[in-house]
Amino acid sequence: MNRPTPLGFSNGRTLRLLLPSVLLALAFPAWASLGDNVTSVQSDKARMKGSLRSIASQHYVTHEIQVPTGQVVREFVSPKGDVFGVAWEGPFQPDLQQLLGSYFEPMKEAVSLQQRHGHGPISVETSGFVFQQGGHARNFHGRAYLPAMVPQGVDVTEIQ
Amino acid sequence: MRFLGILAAVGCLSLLVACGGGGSSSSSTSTITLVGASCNPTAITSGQTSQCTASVSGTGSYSSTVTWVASSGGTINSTSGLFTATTVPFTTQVTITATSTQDTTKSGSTVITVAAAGVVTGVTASCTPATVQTGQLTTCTATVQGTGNFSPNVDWSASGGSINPITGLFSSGNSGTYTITATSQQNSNVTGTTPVAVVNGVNNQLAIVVDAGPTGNYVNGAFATVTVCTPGTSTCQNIDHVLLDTGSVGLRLLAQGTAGGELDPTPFPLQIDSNGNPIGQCNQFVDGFTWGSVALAKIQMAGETASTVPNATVAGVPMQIIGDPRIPSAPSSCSSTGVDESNLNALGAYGVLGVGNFEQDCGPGCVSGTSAPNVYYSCVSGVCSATFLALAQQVTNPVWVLPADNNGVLIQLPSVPSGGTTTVSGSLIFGIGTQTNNALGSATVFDTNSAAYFTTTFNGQKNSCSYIDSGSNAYFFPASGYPGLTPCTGQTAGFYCPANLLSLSAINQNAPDQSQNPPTTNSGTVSFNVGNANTLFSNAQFTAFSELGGTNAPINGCGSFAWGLPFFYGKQQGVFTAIEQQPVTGTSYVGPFWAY
Repeated sequence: MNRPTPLGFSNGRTLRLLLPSVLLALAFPAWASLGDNVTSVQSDKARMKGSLRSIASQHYVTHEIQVPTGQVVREFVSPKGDVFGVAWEGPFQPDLQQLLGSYFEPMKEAVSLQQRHGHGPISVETSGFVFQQGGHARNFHGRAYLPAMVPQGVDVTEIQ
Repeated sequence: MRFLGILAAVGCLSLLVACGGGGSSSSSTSTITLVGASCNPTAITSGQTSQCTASVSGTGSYSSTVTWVASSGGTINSTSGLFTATTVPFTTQVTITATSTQDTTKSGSTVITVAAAGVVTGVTASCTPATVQTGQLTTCTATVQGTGNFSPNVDWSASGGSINPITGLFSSGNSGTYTITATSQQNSNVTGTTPVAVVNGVNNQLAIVVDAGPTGNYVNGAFATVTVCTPGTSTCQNIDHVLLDTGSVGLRLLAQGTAGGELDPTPFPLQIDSNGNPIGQCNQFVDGFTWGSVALAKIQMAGETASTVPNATVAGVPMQIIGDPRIPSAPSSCSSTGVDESNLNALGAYGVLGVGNFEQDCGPGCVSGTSAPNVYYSCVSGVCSATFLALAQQVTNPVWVLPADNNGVLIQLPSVPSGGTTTVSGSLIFGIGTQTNNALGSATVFDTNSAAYFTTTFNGQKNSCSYIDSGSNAYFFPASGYPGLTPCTGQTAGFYCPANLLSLSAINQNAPDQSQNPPTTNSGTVSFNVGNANTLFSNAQFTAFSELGGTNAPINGCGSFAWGLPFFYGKQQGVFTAIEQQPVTGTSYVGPFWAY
């Protein structure tokens, strides 16, 4: 696995993509939704006024947003500019509707269709969408990703 | 005396005179020439002893017998020469004299220094707590007053019950008032006493049942019946099938009406902010949220009653009324956090009884900060906005605010046979080490970190955000590459569906940041089985399964092994859940911890 370095570039392609997206993201602290193109970040109205830092690794860029109420949200952006994964942790649930975008309603639908027979951590896995959330009161952690959009060479366990 | 005889024999040899065998039979020619005396040790303090010996020289068959006398500062055995020092007001030189019995004009002396010992003037005793329930330990301590170098040690005794004579730990199985006495070890005439009242504990045992619940499809859910009353009144409602949950904090009850609950909310005053606006809550569970009001109730469970919260300005314990029609519907900042569980179908219970490791559900994170989290809301003119809320107003762990038995809970459930069973019954016992039925005993204590997590290692993978949770209905853990531990697909997705029953083991270990001082380093291996969820569920009559497992993602270096209700089945003593900052009397343990 490649060791991510803050704003480091392992090849020219990432460099070309990274510069505009990071500068835009810093100018408009916001997050994109799962499956969106990162270029949509600029048109997102910030729901969360968080601080952002971006980390480039060989196959993707991670945008990490620190939310004032304590959550940390990470978005994983492919070289094509697709947000192929999101992950979160912290004392409160994040705005999953914003994070998951068009996958928020399908996630809820999938959970309601599961025969869970009670309560516990959530795990939803379809061919196109994976959602997992764990933890208990005062500390939650989770992630979601789109298998089809995960760049070649990326282990999905890196989405965290 | 043997020692004295040897000395006498040495005296005979050194003078090269035939000794006549000593004793009192003296020859008319025998004389005493010299009597010497020595003591060992030569410096002692009050109460100590020194052995004195004499050397007698003489001619003929003289007698080596002497008589001992001490000048002051103690007593000496006139024949054996053992000196015992008494208490002296200042350091005293004591002259010890040995006088020949054959010739009382012959004597020898030596000096012993007796140091001034301290004097014990008084003992005061006290026990904390001074009033305990039957079977509960109280710790008695004593302060010894005195002058000089006195002994601070006491021995303990009690007029009944049992007390450790050294540590002063007292308990009694019978009610009554007992006199505890601390006696100075240096001077048994000096004592201090204190009373301890032992009262019959209230009934601290609430029945719980594992069954299909009000929706008929729950598995591994432990339910209790809780009574809630309007504060300060005896106007009460009994709510059955409230899910017992050690993974959350606070009582939440579904309102009647569209939410599908049993509770009529109207008798319960709404919690209000400083402007008189009602408080709403978006309570976040791991799998969804419940939206409702915060309202005040007197909460009764078995013989226990929770009526007030520390520092609160109003009577009653804050709880959540899910789906309370008196407040607006959930704002988008709440509904955007996940699945809505504010109804009977999604909740599967008429409420949740959160008896986890915290005092409040949200705690300091909802009191102050940069911006208010989406947990508590102030509702004005049909619009609810996130707000900070003081601890005393937050939804509170009802166990923590009981008058006694308030440091945690013990959950006991019987073992469940392989393949499952229809229903099981058990107990929710309030308090840890507060009555005869909730002693920690030989249970192993596992500290949690501040987020109420400890570490569970499974198949070589360390999960540092692991927890014990009666509100999770399976063992939820990352498969970590374990062979055959395959997830189910379709409607039972989220559970494991191995081809065969798997016998597994994992290691539980204290959290790295422990509350104990010195930190304890407990770890223990747990053996458990995971079967095929589809096979287990095929018997629709069964609601209790000890072999149900489910998936859990290892995320953000915070992998979770959630030890759900199956973990509770058949634990010999049960499973203890201790509340933060609460001590267990008679031990060094302070919550938060789990023990089993």
